Amino acid sequence: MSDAVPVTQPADQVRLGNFESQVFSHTPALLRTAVRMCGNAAEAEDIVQDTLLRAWKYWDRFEPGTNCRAWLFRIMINVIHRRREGLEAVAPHLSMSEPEMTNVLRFESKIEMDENGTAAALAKLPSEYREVLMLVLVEEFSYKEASAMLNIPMGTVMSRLHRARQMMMKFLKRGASQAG
Amino acid sequence: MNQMQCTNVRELLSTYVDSELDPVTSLRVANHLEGCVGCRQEFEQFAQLNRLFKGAAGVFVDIEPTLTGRAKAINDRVRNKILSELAAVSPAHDQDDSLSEEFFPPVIKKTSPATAHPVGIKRWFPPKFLKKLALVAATVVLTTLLGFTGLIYWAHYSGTLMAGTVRTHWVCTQLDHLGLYRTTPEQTQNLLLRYQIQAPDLSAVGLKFQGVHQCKIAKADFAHLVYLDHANQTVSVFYGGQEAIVKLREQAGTVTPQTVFTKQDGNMRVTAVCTANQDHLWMVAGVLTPEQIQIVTNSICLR
Ligand SMILES: [Zn+2]
Ligand SMILES: [Zn+2]
Repeated sequence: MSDAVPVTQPADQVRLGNFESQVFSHTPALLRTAVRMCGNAAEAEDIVQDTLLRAWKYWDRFEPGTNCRAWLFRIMINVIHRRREGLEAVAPHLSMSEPEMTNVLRFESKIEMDENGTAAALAKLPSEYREVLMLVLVEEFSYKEASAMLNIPMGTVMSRLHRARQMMMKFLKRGASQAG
Repeated sequence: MNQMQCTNVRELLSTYVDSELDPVTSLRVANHLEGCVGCRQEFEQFAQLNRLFKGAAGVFVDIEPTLTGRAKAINDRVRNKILSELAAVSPAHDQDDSLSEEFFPPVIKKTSPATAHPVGIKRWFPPKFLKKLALVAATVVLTTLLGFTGLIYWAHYSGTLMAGTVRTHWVCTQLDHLGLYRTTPEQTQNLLLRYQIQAPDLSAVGLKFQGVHQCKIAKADFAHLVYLDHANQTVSVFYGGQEAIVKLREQAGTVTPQTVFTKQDGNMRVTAVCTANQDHLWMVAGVLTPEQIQIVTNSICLR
């Protein structure tokens, strides 16, 4: 017996179902990045929750078929930046020509990278370097995507990544030599 | 081809590792690396660093094991919050569920002989019937989380009885999915005793009784009996006393045991039927065929 009435569902239920199916699978990635960006598990969970609620609020603005993960990360970066602004003055900007850093270019023949020290090394980076590393190396966003998310030019993404890597290697090398 | 200087190459290595250089420059860097041990070493360091950022081995070794569980907990919290927000805007919309329009539509549409109904079942197709269904959710969630004692849930709701029944059905189903509204057999037994009822046997339509909790619909108390069908979909049976009958009368005027009030939206149906002496009201909500609804209401009325 067929029912001639079309199956309709309550708008909110459909909207919520739609939201959940597209958004919730990205929560682990958001959380992972948030933990490394803020260094505090409880705050990271708070940030991710805040991010998802904002995403819900603006869900109508999300264009179906576009990259939902990138959209969510963009929102999260905003959430993090806003919180950061409220907390403290931005870490002093290190300039690219800082002599200490150029030393990193001269490696010894072999540098042990201490895997266990990676998180600690990452934590030492100024936040603007840490976030660009997370977005590009971990989440594998393109420079273009990262530039849009962070609202900085592509050239700045490039230079920050370069600097971030140099600093990471320096910290890792230092950590390894202390350990050994 | 110009030979690149080591300093130039090293400036580009980071971008090279990320495959973000244009093809020509990328090739020039690759050529340089072929013949320059120092730059190659740096490149290898960059590549190794990249590997450290991948997966559980490196930078996430400490958080990876708990990540999934914590992400799921966040998702659950977000879902609850959204349901709360939706419920918070509920009252204004509930006023739209004007009973005179929805309860007694001027024309009863018949779509085909196959869907014509036997005695007593009125059908119609309100366009916005299930709209804002979710709006009540928060109240339930909030009262569940805040004022929750034992396993009794109060769904506060300010709209009409029929629409409220569907909303409550949906909200409680959501809560069930979250594992929140399951009652123990003992709690179920106590509540059935308090209402002095037995759970109707609805196995004739493939429904299995799960448990009962308390809900409020249109400010009237109901026992909310939860059934599951073969596909694990929830069907709700609500039982209310005098207070509930008064609510129905307020909205429906004449109430007789012969009248079965039914509203539907797609496969979703809600039905109200009162007992012979008109002191008890039963309501059924769920994805049911008209035939199933009829069997259910018959078995309830015959009790
Ligand atoms: Zn070179
Ligand atoms: Zn209920």
